[in-house]
Amino acid sequence: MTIFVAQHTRRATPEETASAVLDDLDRRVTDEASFVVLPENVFTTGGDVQALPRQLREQCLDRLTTLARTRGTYVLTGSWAQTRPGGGLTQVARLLDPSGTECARVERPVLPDGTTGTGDDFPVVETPFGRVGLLLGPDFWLVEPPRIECLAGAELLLVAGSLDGGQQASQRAAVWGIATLNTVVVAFAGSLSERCGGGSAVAAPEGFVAEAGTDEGVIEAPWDVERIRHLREPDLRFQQTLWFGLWARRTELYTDLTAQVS
Amino acid sequence: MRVAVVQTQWVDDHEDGLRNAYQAIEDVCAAGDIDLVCFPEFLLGPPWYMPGQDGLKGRTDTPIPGPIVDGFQSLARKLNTHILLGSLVEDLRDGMYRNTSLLIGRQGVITGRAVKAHPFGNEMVVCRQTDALGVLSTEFGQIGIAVCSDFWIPEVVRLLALAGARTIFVPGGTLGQNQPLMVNALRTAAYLNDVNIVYASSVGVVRGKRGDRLVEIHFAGTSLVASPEGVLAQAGSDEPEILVVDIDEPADGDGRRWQQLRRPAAYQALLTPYAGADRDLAAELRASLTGGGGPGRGRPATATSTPEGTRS
Repeated sequence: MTIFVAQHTRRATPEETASAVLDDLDRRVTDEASFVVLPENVFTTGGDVQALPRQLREQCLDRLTTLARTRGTYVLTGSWAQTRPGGGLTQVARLLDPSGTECARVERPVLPDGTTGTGDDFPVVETPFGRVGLLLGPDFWLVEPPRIECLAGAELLLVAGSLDGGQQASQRAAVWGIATLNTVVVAFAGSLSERCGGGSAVAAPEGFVAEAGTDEGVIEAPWDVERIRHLREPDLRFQQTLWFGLWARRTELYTDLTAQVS
Repeated sequence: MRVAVVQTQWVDDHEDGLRNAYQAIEDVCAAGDIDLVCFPEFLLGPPWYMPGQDGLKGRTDTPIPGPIVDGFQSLARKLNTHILLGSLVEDLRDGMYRNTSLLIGRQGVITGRAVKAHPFGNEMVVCRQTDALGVLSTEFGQIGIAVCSDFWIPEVVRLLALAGARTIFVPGGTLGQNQPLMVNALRTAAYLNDVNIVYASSVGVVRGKRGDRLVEIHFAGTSLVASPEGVLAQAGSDEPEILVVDIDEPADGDGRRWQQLRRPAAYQALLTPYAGADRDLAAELRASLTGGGGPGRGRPATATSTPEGTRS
């Protein structure tokens, strides 16, 4: 089983970006795929965030649905902006199952500065390949949402993300660090643009399995859910210790994390 | 704040360990103005409750205050520096113990303490844990202390950062097989929480037996200081070493931006246990101490002669 992660440069028009991403996925994703992951704001130009035109939106979703069906894989579609019924924009990311059906969705508001907001739903989906958590945009960089999904049993985090911070070297390293601290594999997809530094990667607790750096393309990495299950099993001889972060918690000490503080 | 991070070597005789610690403080303070000297967890050497270390009971544990702490208080006063005793096995005099980190101020007064909150191994059986995690007010602002494996619970560093700590001290000990990922995890915690991390570790090997198993634990140093931007200084893996690092409060960075996006009301799930936790590990350890079978991966297994522990 294999995870494929897309990382592409944003083109001059959404149509060109979409064509570059989707054509490359068609060429590179094999029947070995169990998961395909696309980034936040996947089909934009790198300029202001705007709603993806309806026709293009439908074409993109149709092609990703076909990809899921023909390869027998789950596809995290990445996100694109849509207009909300009451006005304003929302980023929407969908998880398609191997039949092409949407089995989970994450929506996050587009904030006035064009960045994506955070949310309060952190879905975990049971799949034949293992339990997967879905994350969109900055939720990944908060400590809490990835943690909540792993506490709920997620063994793989699929992240429609973006490397858009001011400390990108630290941000890139943190993709692995988040995998370590939660004993999980992270499949992180980001785009390349003036603001976004790529950084797509598949990271296991012990290190990166595959990294795109700032290269355009589709990276692939093996997916072994049994390895994560092994690392999470307590070993009181301490040959393995990563289980500790999940098992040794004292929940009564953490109430301040749920309190609104200034 | 100028911090000296002392990477200690565990030695067989804890009196030697104590002398080495005193000497390290004298040496580093003689070389320059040091605001705070930071030691690792169990700066005197292995705790008596590590497998095979029973002979140290009554030697590496100490009451607080007590003669061992007195010596460090005198040094702090003499050298006009703070000393963070990464941790001592605190003898509570009622048959129980705590893994306690002490902050001694320039006047030699104990100005703060942090008790390990998340027990590791036999600590589940012989130690009391803290009931609260909090920050300490110092002349350097508010600081946090996450004793050893408390660091491995991301909630701890997050709580300390949200409570106002800008520098978090992690007295620990790097296990050989964890070394690269430990360094990166510390760096990640600094970045995500927008704090400095000061991590002190030991080097050396501990050997002992649990039942008829050989236990061998390798400590791999790698003491470091990290800011949200990355690792500022890092020690090696094999030798005692002292890092001297000037630390400024971090400027507001990405981590601060992420924190402003938090939605605390949505995080109630953090107050529930891990969905896969279905064993009473303390009971298993208790049973292993009373001959009820050696603890192993999966369900408790019968003892074998297979070496256990951590190897680099």
